[in-house]
Amino acid sequence: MDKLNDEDRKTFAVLADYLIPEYGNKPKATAVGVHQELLDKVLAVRPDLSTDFIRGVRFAAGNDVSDALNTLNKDDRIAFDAITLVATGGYLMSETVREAMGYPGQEPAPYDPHETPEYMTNGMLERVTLRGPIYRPTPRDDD
Amino acid sequence: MASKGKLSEEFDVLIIGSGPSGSVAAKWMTEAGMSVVLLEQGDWVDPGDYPGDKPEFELAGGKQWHPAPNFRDHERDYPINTKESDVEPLMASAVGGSATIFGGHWVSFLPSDFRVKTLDGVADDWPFTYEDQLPHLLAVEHALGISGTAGNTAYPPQGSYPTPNIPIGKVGNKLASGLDKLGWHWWPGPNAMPSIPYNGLNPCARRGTCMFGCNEKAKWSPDLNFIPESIKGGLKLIPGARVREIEYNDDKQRVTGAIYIDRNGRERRQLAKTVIVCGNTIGTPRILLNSKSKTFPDGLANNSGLVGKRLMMHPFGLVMGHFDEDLESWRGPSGMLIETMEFYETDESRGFVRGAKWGGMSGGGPLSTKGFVGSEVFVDGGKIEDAWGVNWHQMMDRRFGRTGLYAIIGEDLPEESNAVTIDDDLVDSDGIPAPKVVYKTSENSTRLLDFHSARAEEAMLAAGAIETQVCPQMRESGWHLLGTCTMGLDREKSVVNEWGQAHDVPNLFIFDGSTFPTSGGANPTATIMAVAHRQTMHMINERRNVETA
Repeated sequence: MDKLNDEDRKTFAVLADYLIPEYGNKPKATAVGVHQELLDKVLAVRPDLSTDFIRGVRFAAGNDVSDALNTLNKDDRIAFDAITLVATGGYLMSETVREAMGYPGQEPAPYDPHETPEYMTNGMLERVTLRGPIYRPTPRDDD
Repeated sequence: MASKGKLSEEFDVLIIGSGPSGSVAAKWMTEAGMSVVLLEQGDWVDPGDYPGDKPEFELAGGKQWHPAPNFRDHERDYPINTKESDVEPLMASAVGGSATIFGGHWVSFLPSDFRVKTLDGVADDWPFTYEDQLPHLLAVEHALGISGTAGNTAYPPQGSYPTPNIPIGKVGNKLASGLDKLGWHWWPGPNAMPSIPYNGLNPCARRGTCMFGCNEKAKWSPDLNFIPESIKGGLKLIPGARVREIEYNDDKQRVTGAIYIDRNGRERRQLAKTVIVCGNTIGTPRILLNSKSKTFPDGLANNSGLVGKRLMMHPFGLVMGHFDEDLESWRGPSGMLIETMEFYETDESRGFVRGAKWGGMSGGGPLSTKGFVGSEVFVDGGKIEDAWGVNWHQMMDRRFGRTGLYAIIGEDLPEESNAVTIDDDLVDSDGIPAPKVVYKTSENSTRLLDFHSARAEEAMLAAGAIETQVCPQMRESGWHLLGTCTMGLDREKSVVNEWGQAHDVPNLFIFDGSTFPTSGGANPTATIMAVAHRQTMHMINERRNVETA
C-alpha cells in the first residue's frame, strides 16, 4: 500500500467533517487538524490502521461523501472502522475539543483517604449490614 | 536438542512465570532462605511507558496495549489459535505477568465456591475449604496493601483491610443508590491498590487507567515490590526466558530443570531440585504438553489425561447506564468502585446453577463510550448518519462523563471438552509449538449471563439511568483463565494434589490458577495468590521431606 499523500488528506478532511461537523461549542474535525497533525499522531500510535484507512479514503475519493461512507460501512467495515477511529481518536486528543467537552484527561484526582465517606453517614451501607449475611457457609461434615 | 543447552548452577527451586502466583512463591521462598531462580518470558515494563497518562491511551489500548496477545502481536507474546473458541484469552507477557494490566479488583472466593458439589451437586469440591485458605488470603492482603472496607456481608467475618477504601466517586454512589433502592447487596470495592503509601507502592491517584497499566506505581503488580524484594534476597530472575520444556529424567523419575530460549535466541538449560510452574492456565499446560519423555509421551505429569482439560473462562457481561448528570465518569479507580454479590449464590428457580459478582465501574475515557478496554462492544447499525454527524456529538454529550457500568463475572463450570492443546502448526517467535484453545460457552453460562444482565439493567434504571446498553457476552473477555491442571485427591481425576504437587512427579509443582477445580464467580487473583501462598508455606515447611532430583 502507498504512503499517505496530500490527496488522501484532502479526501479525509471531507470525510472527517461529515462524520464530526461543528456542533454547539464543539468545532468541526478539520478545525482542530484531524487531517493534519492529529492524523500523523494517530497513525504514529496506530500504524496498524494505515492500510485499511488509506484503502477506505481512496475508495471515497471523488464520490459523494454519504454514499461512500455508507458503502464502506456495508462492504468494507474494516476500512470504515479505521476511518472513524482515526477521526474520533484524533479529534478527542485535541486540547480544544477536550476543553469544550469539559474533559481534563485522565488526570490524578487527589483525595483524603481518611475522610468518612457519605455512604457511611447517610445509612446506605448500614442498611446492607442490617440485612445480615448473604453467603452460604462451608457445610460441616455432618450437614 | 536438550544436550546443547548451556549448563547452569542448580537451584533449590525453579519457578516458571513471574505473575501473581510465581511472585508469591519467589518472595516467600527467598525470605525462607531457599535458592530460587525465576524464568520469565517477558521483560521489565517501565511504568512510565504505560499509556494511561498520555492523550492517546485509548488508541494504544486498541493495539500495542490491548490485553489480548493475538491483538498485540508483541514479540514476547506467544500466539494462540482461538479459531475454535467463543472467547479470546487475555494476558500479558512481562515481569509481573498479567497483573501489569489487570484491573486490581480484589474479590476473594466465597465459602460455597470450595464446596460446589456438596452444595449444588455440580463439578467438584476443592480439596480444602474457604477457611483453610483464609489465613493465606489475609497474609497476601497485608503484603499488597489492599484498600477496602471491613464487614462485607457477602463473606464470613474477615477482619480489616490494611488501607482505607479509595473513594467510590460520583459513579460509585450513583450505582450504590440503585442497589440501595432495590434492597440489594452492595459494598465499596476492595482493590489491589493502596489508598496510602504502602510497601513501595504509591497511593491510588484515581487516574482511571488501571487496565492500561498504572503510571502511578499504585496498582499492585509483582514487578513493583515482590520481585525487587526477592532479588535483594537472592532471587535470580531471568527475563526474556521462554521455556520450551521441563526436563524429566526417566531413570530418576524426577524433573531436573527446564530448557529455555533466552532473548538472544540461545538455548539454555536451567537445573533445579524442584520445579514450580506458574505460567497461567494456558501457558502451564502448554509447557507440560510440550514436555514429552519416554515415561510421559503425552505430556509431563499427564497420566490422568487431564492436562489442558477443564479450561474455564468466566462468562463476562457488560451493562452500561447513562445518566442525566455529570458524574465525571472518566475518574478511577478502575479498579472497582463498588461490588454486589446479591445473586452470587445458587437459586435453581432462575434456570441455572451458581452465580456472578458484579463490579461497578466508571465508563472510562471518551473513546470508551462504545467499548471497554480497547475493544468496541456496541456497534452501530443502519445508515451511518444515524450514528455520525450531529448525532455523534449528541451521543457524546449524552454519555461521556455520565456513564457507569456493571462488569458481570459469572461462574464457568468445568467441562473436559473446553481445553488447551498444542496446535499442529502454530509456533512462537522462537519456534516453540503454540497453544490452541477450544472453548464453547455453556448453556448454564448463557442463562446465567442473561439473568444477571437483566438484573443489572434493572439496577441501572433504579439508579436513575436514562439509557442503558446491554452486552451479555463479549468475545474479548477472557480475563480470568482457570482450570487445565486441576487439583484433587484422586490421581485419576486430577493433575496435582491439594498442595499443588503433581500426582505423577514428586518434585514438580503447579501453583497457578490452572489448578482450580472450579472457577468461582469472582475475579480470581486474590484466590490465586492465597492458594499460591498456602502451597508455598507448605513447601517451605516440608522442604526437608521433598523428594528432589
